[in-house]
Amino acid sequence: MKKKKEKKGFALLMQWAEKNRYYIFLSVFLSLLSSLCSIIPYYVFYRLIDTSVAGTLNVDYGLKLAVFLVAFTLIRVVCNVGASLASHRGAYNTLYKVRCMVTEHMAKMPMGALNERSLGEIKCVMNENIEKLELFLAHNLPELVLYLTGPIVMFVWLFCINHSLDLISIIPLLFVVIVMFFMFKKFSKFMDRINQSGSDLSGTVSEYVTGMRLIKAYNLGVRSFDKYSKAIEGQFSMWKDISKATGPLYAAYVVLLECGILFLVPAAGWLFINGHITAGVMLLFAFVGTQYLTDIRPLQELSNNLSFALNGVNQVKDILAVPVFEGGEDFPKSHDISIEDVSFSYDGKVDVLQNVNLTIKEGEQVAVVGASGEGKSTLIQLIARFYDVTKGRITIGGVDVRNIRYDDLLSNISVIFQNAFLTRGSVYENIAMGKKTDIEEVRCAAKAAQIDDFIMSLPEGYDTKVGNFGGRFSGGQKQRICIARAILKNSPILILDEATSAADPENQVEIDKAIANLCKGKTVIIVAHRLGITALCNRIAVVEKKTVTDVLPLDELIVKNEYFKKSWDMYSSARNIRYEKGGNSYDREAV
Amino acid sequence: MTEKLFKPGKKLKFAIAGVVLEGLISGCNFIVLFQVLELIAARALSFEYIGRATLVLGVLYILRLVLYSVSYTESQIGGAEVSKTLRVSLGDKLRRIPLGAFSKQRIGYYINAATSEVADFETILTHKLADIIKYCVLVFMLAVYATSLNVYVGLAMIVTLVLLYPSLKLSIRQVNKYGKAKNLAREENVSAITEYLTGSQTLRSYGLAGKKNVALRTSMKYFSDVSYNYERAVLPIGFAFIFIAYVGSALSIIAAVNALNAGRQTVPELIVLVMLSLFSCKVVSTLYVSLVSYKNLLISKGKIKGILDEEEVAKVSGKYNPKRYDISFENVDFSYDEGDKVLKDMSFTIPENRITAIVGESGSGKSTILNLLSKYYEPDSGNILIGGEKIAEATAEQVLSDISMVDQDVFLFNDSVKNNLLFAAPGSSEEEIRLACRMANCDYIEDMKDGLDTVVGDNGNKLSGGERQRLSVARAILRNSPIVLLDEATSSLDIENELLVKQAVLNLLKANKTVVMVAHTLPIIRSADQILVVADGKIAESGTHDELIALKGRYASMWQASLQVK
Repeated sequence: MKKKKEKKGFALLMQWAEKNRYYIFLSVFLSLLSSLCSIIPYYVFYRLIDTSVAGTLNVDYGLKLAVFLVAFTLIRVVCNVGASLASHRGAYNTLYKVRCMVTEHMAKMPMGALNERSLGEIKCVMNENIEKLELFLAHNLPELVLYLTGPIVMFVWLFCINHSLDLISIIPLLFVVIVMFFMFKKFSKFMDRINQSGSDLSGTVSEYVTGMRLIKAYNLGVRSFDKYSKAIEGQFSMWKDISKATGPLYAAYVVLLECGILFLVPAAGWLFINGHITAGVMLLFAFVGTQYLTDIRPLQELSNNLSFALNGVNQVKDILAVPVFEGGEDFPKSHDISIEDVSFSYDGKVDVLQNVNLTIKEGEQVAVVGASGEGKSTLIQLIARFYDVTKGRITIGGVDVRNIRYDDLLSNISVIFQNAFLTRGSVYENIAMGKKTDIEEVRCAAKAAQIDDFIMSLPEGYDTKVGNFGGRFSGGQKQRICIARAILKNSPILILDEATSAADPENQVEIDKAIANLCKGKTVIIVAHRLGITALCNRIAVVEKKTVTDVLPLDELIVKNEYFKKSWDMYSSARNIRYEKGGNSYDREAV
Repeated sequence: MTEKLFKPGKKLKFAIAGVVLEGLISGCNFIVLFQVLELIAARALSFEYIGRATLVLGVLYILRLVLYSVSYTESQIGGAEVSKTLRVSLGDKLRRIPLGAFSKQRIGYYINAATSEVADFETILTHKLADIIKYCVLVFMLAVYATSLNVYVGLAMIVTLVLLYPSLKLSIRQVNKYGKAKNLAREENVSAITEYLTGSQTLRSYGLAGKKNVALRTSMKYFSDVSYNYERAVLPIGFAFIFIAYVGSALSIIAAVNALNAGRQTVPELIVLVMLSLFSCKVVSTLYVSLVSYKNLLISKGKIKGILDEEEVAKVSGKYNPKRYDISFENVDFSYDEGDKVLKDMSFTIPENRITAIVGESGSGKSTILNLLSKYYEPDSGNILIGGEKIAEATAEQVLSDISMVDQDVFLFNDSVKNNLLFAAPGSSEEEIRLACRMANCDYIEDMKDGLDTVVGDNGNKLSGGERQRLSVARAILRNSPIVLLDEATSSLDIENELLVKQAVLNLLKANKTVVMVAHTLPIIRSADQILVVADGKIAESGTHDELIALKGRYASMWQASLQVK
């Protein structure tokens, strides 16, 4: 994005809104108009006082004023409705635009930026923070204009009528500012306690509810309830203290806004008696001059919402600031993968991988093993450019992955993730995934993935909606649908983060068959959690101490590599444990 | 019964009365100003009188300041008190709701109710209620006063006040009519976004991201449009009401001016009438807004009340005191959702002090058996007996006191490791605790800075999955209860943790208890004393491994498959 200078807050939001900002501007304009009209009742009142005291008020003039009042109220109301509709139209369109922008940006981000944690944050931004912008754009902004300009317009009008009295009428603002200052000062002292007590309360409530089963099992009802009650008592006593400290000040803020009457009545009275002003002016200030400031009362609440909105804008801005991968050449024809002296660090400080070298020939099947946390998942993610390497390079067919067009790279590498993801659409859509294809081709893929029989047994076959039915698919069935999808995609390079699934044995056999079909003739890299699967691969790469130490076929590796030997033993032991009465031990015979 | 909990306490009532009274005193300003007005009309206004009027206004003002300070503060405290009572009542109620109600979605609902819904309800009491009463009373009194001066003006004010009701009704009708569509669209939008984000990596690699994901775009656009339609349907009502109020005011002006010209009204009276009429227009506009948000906040009340009125655990005789620990299911039927039976007429027995394994495809009802046994749910029909005694006669606490559960969802309290173990087995000595930890492969505790006194964080979030699993086994070893329920899931663990957890379970089994385990892999249960094969909510086969192999049925083919798994 080309920008002359970094925009912030509202200006940035308006830039995102594009054409919709005119709705917002219209709404502000109409609110201003409505604000101007809001002095009409006071004007009518003033005219009535003036003429009636002067004795010139007749029925005609009364009627005129009444019609005038109705006409301008109508204009005001129409302006208000128009302002609200425009602000809502603008707000909802802007929300839509911003959401689209975020998803569009996500489509270009490095895959690594879409990890679970950042997705959690994006989800919160997409659903909650962006939604809060509506409150700001559709409600707070026009309200701000109304509450702020209403009194200003009044002030200006009254100023035209009498300078000194008008200045007296804003004396309350002085008091209010002082009171507000003390109120915020007192309140800020409680900030730590508010945060503490708030997290105590939510933590305790959530433990109490989530742990209810265990609480009953361990008969901790009384104790847990005590802890729960204490957290609530703590919350209560905190609010009690806060109320005692700031309640009177808030009350003073509200009442002090009306204290102008104490100054205006004597001042206006004095001016009137001395003949400086007419009775009409005196009464105008006595009745109206003392009231108009109260319209700013809601401003205090608005300030909170304003900070929420700014926060939302900033968070969206942060997401949009994540750099994207763009441009590059076509995916190469040859598919040898070569990892050359690669180091990688997530934070720029601690290396997760150091000086890794690994070459995978086209059509070769390589397993990656290693203890958890040693970086084996990171390694395979680097091949698909989830992240950019910190040092060294990774090439496919001799081309650095950073020079390949990202979309093209992703569409030529199939990554089968540990958790099978299905959309709510039909089974057919879930396998085709946007590819224009006929049912025969889809069924063919499903057959190879050992899932066609199951799908055909569903009430609506391939048209069955996963959304309605997905809950009844077992993990293994979902996984096979994902495999069918990858078979149809038919990309030359396959990366499998093999799930340590809880599928029952028969399902697991089917999954294994499906994976075997998927891997036929492809360049395959498997992160093996079940060591047994390594027997099916040409070579096994061991990731330990942040690097790849050995890359060998199984029979050689088991002799040469200490770590692998130990793992293999542990794996066999774990698989051969039999539970029996008295906790008896291991199975002697090999299974 | 529950309705009482929502009522403001005595103090809060006084506080509200104080706020209302303050509002009425503020109305007295008009009386003072009216006096001034009459003096002006009589051309008799003097400095002395202005001084006196200012003094009276000052006294009124200080009175208001004090009254409002005290009442406002007290109403805040009173509101917080109601929140406290509601939260405590909710907590107490939750103890009495059947355990089956604590499903994943429901847990979030309960937590939300006890925290934010209660807070929302509190704002009704502290912010809205007093204002609404104050303004209603104020407008009504001013209207009565206006009536004494001019019937038409008073009438117009009363009519405006009364018109609030149908306007509000209309607004609520529109809210209900269009709100439903909006809520549906919102839910749909949230799930579309959630789906998109959850699957974003997959969608990306299939070229279905961003602009190309039509489903997401459509859903977001639809939500945007429906939200706008909602506002378009609801918004104009309030403004129309305000307009009508001002029309009433205009009519009042005509009436008052006519009366003035006919000599039935004095000038000061006219001024006061017009002022009252215009003032009340402003107040009813505020009232309308307050009432609308009041109505919205009542939704919170409804949710809280819904929980407080939930069905409680059925009263039982409590005559349950098993002497032995064999288990039997007699013709048990069960369904989570009506009409969708998970267990059908299921019967079996589990011998005491033996290992019984339950196997079957996922979704066949294996875990349901454990859930029923621990009284998380009640069967639709049939009996479950422990030691020959019906658990239907027992409280959940009674049944659970004999049971240790080791399953995939390990729950830990935000407390020290030691206390987490002590909760399971009160009165254990430090020695016993250390022994249990050793047997459960929990050596990692020794390596932590505070050892057994290390606090594990919210639901144990400072421990890894494997560490949590082992700690839950230590808990079961220490608890030493006669029945052990195992739903072991080592699939999410790495090889090393898998071995450690399995070894820990072996140590747990040394104590010779009645063990019921749901098995996901077969080799591990080859030596079980009894294997139950569950299919379609029924026991399809039962026997030892060798017997079942010889049967050449479901189990035998599962076994064959498991041999092929690498």
